[in-house]
Amino acid sequence: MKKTLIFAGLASLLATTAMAQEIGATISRFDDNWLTVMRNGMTEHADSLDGVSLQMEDATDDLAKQIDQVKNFVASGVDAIIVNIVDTSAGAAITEAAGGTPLVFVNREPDNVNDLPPTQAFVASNEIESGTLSAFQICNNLRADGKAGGARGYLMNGQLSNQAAVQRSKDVHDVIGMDMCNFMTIIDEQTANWSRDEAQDLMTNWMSSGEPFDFVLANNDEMAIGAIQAMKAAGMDMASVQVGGVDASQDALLTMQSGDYDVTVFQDAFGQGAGSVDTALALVKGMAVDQKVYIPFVLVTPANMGDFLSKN
Amino acid sequence: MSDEVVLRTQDLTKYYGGVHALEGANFEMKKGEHIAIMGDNGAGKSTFVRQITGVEQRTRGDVWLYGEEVSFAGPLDAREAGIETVFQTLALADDLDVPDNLFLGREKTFADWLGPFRFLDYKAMRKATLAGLEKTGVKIPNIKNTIRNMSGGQRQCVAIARTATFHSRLTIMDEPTAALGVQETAQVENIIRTLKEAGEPLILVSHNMRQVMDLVDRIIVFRRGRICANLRKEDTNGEDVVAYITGAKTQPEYADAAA
Amino acid sequence: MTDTSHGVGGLTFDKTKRSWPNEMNIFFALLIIVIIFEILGQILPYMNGQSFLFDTRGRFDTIFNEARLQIIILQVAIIGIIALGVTQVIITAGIDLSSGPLVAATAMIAMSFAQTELVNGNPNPKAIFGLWAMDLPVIVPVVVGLLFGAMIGAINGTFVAYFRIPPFIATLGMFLICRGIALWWSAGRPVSFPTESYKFIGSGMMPVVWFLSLAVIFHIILRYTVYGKHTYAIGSNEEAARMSGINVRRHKVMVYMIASMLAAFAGVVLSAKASTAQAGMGEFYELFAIAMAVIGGISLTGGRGSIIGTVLGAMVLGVIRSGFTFVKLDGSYQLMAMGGIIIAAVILDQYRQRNRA
Repeated sequence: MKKTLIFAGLASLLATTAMAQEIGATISRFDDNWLTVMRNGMTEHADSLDGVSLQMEDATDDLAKQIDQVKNFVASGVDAIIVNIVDTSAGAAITEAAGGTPLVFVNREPDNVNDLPPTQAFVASNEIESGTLSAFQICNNLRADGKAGGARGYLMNGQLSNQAAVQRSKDVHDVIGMDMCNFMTIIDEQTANWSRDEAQDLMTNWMSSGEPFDFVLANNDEMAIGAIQAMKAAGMDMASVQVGGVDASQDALLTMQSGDYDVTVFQDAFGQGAGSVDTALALVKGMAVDQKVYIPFVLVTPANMGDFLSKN
Repeated sequence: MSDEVVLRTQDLTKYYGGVHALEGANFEMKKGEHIAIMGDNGAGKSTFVRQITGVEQRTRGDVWLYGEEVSFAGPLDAREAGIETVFQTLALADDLDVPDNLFLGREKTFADWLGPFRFLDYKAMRKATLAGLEKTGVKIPNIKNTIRNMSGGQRQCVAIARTATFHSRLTIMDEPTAALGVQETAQVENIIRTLKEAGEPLILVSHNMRQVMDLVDRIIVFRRGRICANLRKEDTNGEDVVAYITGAKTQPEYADAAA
Repeated sequence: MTDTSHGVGGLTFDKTKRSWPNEMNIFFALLIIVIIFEILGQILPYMNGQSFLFDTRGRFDTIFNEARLQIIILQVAIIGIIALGVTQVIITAGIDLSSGPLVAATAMIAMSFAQTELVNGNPNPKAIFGLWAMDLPVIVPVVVGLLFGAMIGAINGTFVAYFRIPPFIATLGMFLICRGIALWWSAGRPVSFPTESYKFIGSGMMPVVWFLSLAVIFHIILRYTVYGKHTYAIGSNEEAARMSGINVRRHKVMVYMIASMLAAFAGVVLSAKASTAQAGMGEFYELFAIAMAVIGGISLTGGRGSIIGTVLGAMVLGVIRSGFTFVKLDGSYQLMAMGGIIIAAVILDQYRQRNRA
């Protein structure tokens, strides 16, 4: 990909500079699996470059704390800041807190992404793709199973204060709204807060009503896995249900390997992490960069899952 | 009244740092006697009680209980030796019922090998409670009621009934009716009379002159940490005792207290 | 209602009638909530006359929708285990805020000793320790988890009893410490893929089996043993307990240890059920556990409370969760309803207390 080459070029360029670069990064939460992979991607990438030191902070889902962390970074004179924003509607506040210090938003799209000052940029994947890829593939699978006459299912949301959750669910509704897929109906949609065990209980609750269903869509793998565990515990045949999610985590891929999980979407956590570091360094050097960089999602099914087993 | 000496102290002394709260108390009590300890605030009454019940450790002096020299490491030791104390604050747990409170800390149990999880022998405790209540003349229709639902007087009676249940050898009451109304005070005094009839020795710390004159055989007066009078009830009256308390008079044997 | 009995010297006493146990009230509240959801299922147009409690589709042998009854209690069983411990702590007039993060930390630690070597025939990608820690007998992770819980509980109890730090503060500090431990343990990475025998601990209705068995055991302990009696005594009047010769400090440490061990066990069951351990698990569990006890009629000032009440409190929360999913109402309403019920439970209890005296 063109953008990947640009990054590679920048990286090698920057790696040769002798001056030490200090980057301060604040991540919305440390206990999220996917974000942990991204965080590790940032750290490993920074370690591989000479003279780049990376300081990591946990915002514990607290926006006020995150803004303070950004201000602290500015006060201690870091060369660049990377922010995985807690609340996507607070972009302006973070932008202002950073002042003139170069800043990169990573993974979560702030609402001011189109009005960023020249010292700031955004690296992520477009959540419009994630939910769409997942739902669309499920739609195709259902057709292949001969259910084009009508299919009913459930949708599990992530934390609704997360733009990713909101967007992914919207994607599902948009896909179902299309002519090709409007044979699908959502019986109910509820939140399981990204959590596997909450999803287990939610799925069991849904199943207790006895309504037959053909698919389960979830905003992330953890919830999809929870749903699968609940369905298996109830003795359901996983071949009769299509289950789709997002992330392509290791646990998910192994579940896919056992044949229980049908569709997921790979979000390049490592790539986003490393990319954010490179963009930050580029901003420090005053180079011209794309202010909005979208790293693509990739659809993962049993057919190509082998490629991704070692990635997340 | 027999001649057996229940409690004797010799030179019982307690200093709190530089404060001489109790100095050289020589006290003797015979079986069947009811003795009142009186004195102004800070005179040393409560300090004296605290030393002989093991709540505190004395600075100097000796104590004999039924002829045996004793030294209590804590209030539990005193209790085990047979001294039962009824404190002004009662030491009752509001949410527990009568048998629970009576047996608190010394429950009857079985399956003792279970340690802290040994089982409570409710039947035995109930039986012993009823016997103890009867002995002190306290009537409670429903002993399974929690203490919270009882009046101050009833609670005090329960606390006193504790002494009867555990066959105490000496009962000490510290201001038992100070917080009670007239009728409840009468109830408690009735129980004290019952104890007297049963020949149980009692030390009563009280400010209430009328009560003291009604109930006890002898009055010991403390002043400024020392005993300044040892009076038989027949030999004295209210005014007289007050004079000793305030220091207007001192018995010749205790002349050093007047200093 | 006074009944005067004359004893020696004209003693009179009030006889209070044997009162209606509070647990009956909670049971009735539970029935009322169930009936409300049943009615909603009938009258709400989009529900198409579905039944909350009864098996209208003829899927089960009994008239009840067994799947629903099962999930009602299954989804609160794990927090219920924590609540059994918290109940005891609150009875001593203390509080334990550290249960949630303790669940997460224990899950991470125990799961690390419960991992299986091969997943789908390939080496376990989530291995924390080397081969020596793989495929261990299930007793190992369970004991490790319980020991961790015992340690945390001992620390909590020591701070409260010996250093006289207010329980709120001590356990709040432990809340933060355990959160840190959970995050630090595997640098935020989840620990997954346990052995089959470990998974069994949390499989199917096992969490309910654990919850109800432990409830029965602790009900017996609280009501019929010396430990139980002393727990109530300390909460009711700590000074009286001390003066009666009870070793109050040592007892408190025991109570906090038991509570933390129960929370640790909840962590084991949770990770077994989900086949994973994640640092973010157990969020808000300590608050829900306290809520169960409060709805069950416990007094936060100590001396009053029962295991039966707590179990009923757990069922109330379970019914609310399932009920809201049943009528397809958003999760935010659920939280508001739970909060409302907790406050109502406390108000009703205070009203009852005032009327008794």
